[in-house]
Amino acid sequence: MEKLKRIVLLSGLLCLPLLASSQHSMTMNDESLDAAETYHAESLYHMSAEWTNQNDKSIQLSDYQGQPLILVMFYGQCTGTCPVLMQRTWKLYSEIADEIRGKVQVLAVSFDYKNDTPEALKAYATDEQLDIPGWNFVRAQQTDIRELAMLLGVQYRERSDGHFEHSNLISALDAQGKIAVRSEGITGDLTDTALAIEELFKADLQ
Amino acid sequence: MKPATFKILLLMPLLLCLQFASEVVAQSTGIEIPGGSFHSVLPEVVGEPHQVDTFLLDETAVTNRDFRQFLMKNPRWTPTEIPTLYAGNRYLKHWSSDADYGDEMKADLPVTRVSWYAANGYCGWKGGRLPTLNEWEYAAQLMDFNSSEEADRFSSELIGWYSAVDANQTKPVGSTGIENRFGVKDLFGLVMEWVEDFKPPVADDLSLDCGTIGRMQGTNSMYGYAMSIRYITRMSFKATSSTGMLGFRCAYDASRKTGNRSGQSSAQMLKTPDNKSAQ
Repeated sequence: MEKLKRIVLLSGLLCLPLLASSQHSMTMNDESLDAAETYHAESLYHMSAEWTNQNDKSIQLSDYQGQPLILVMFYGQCTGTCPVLMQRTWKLYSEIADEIRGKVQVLAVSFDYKNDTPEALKAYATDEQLDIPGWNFVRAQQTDIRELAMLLGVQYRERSDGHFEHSNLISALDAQGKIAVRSEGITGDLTDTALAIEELFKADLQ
Repeated sequence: MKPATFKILLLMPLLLCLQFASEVVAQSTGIEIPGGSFHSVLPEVVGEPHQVDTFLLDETAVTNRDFRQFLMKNPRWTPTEIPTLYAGNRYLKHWSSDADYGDEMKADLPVTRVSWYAANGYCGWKGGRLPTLNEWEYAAQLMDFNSSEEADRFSSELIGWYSAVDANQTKPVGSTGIENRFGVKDLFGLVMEWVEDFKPPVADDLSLDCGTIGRMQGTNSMYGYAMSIRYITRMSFKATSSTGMLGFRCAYDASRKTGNRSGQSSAQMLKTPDNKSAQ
């Protein structure tokens, strides 16, 4: 009988991870609710999405609170404009003054929730020579990607062949998570955009 | 103790586990819409039909009851918690309190005054997403009519409906009697519905006036004209818009197994420019 009790107890213990995970998501919710009151009304930190990066680490936009962030949306299997868009993001990054660049964070968000696994993102970052400190390549649940695109004003559509039609946009959030800089297209001078991003850092220091 | 009782005792906590697990992930449903192609009124690639892959679509629009359940589990989407980033101040304004529509008579009405963000959030919670514009349009064209006269009569009523969608006169879901070939209900005649990409890339190049309707493809047919009105109305929404004429339903990716490209159908039952036979 003792033994039986123990078995029942043990199988009950099996539940705990499940319970814990549901409990966890509730706690997460509560935290974001508390924090939400402190965010600016237009802050993208209101997003509760959990992004997974190329090292399989979880990231939330609010993790960047207090520091400006460059945001770009792309997908790994892109053979059209995305390499150009990502290289443009790198060009923008490299045009930022040396003393500031080291503090600049870049979040490259994939449209391709199916294929851009952490491994695929890691390979992409390496192949494109963008495995730079402060750069994160991420994906999330389909509706979270859609939500971010809508917030940023990025239009995209998945085609039947698995590729994505998308607009080309590099954005920067200020230290409160508000959209502060937008650079559309894949051509043109980036000097002003780089200056605008530097201003975000200077404003933050004041 | 009998071995059977012993087994039951052992099973009970496991059953409890399952119960908790199902609480965490909401059930997804949906009717399978086999892949195929359709013609859009948008001047994208002239003459080229849009390909749509097999997907699943909710039978009806999301109801007040469904949405209340979502709010109870996700309080960040309630009118008091939702940031202005995600919805204007008319969000769920017709509900009696923060997370309640009040009158039980309203439980089966389609939920309206929900922003695109809230609709997108709901569908994500259900394990799905909003249908894409092309998926929605494709499903809506899969209607069977006995004759082109009947299709024209339907389209004509549709134009009347679009020009005066009554935000205050919504009926329960499933009550319009309109359904497509696969049993998806009320795509017309109840409320307009959010789609994932309601502002397609081409939207920026179109000015939303009457002249644009005239320039759209397919306006030489009755249904094409109704479709143009729908496209233009939809493109004029903002993602934070919360109006009484707008509801939504969710879609789901077809699993790889059910994705069957051989069983393709072409949505040409309604009179469209290429569907000369019906004219």
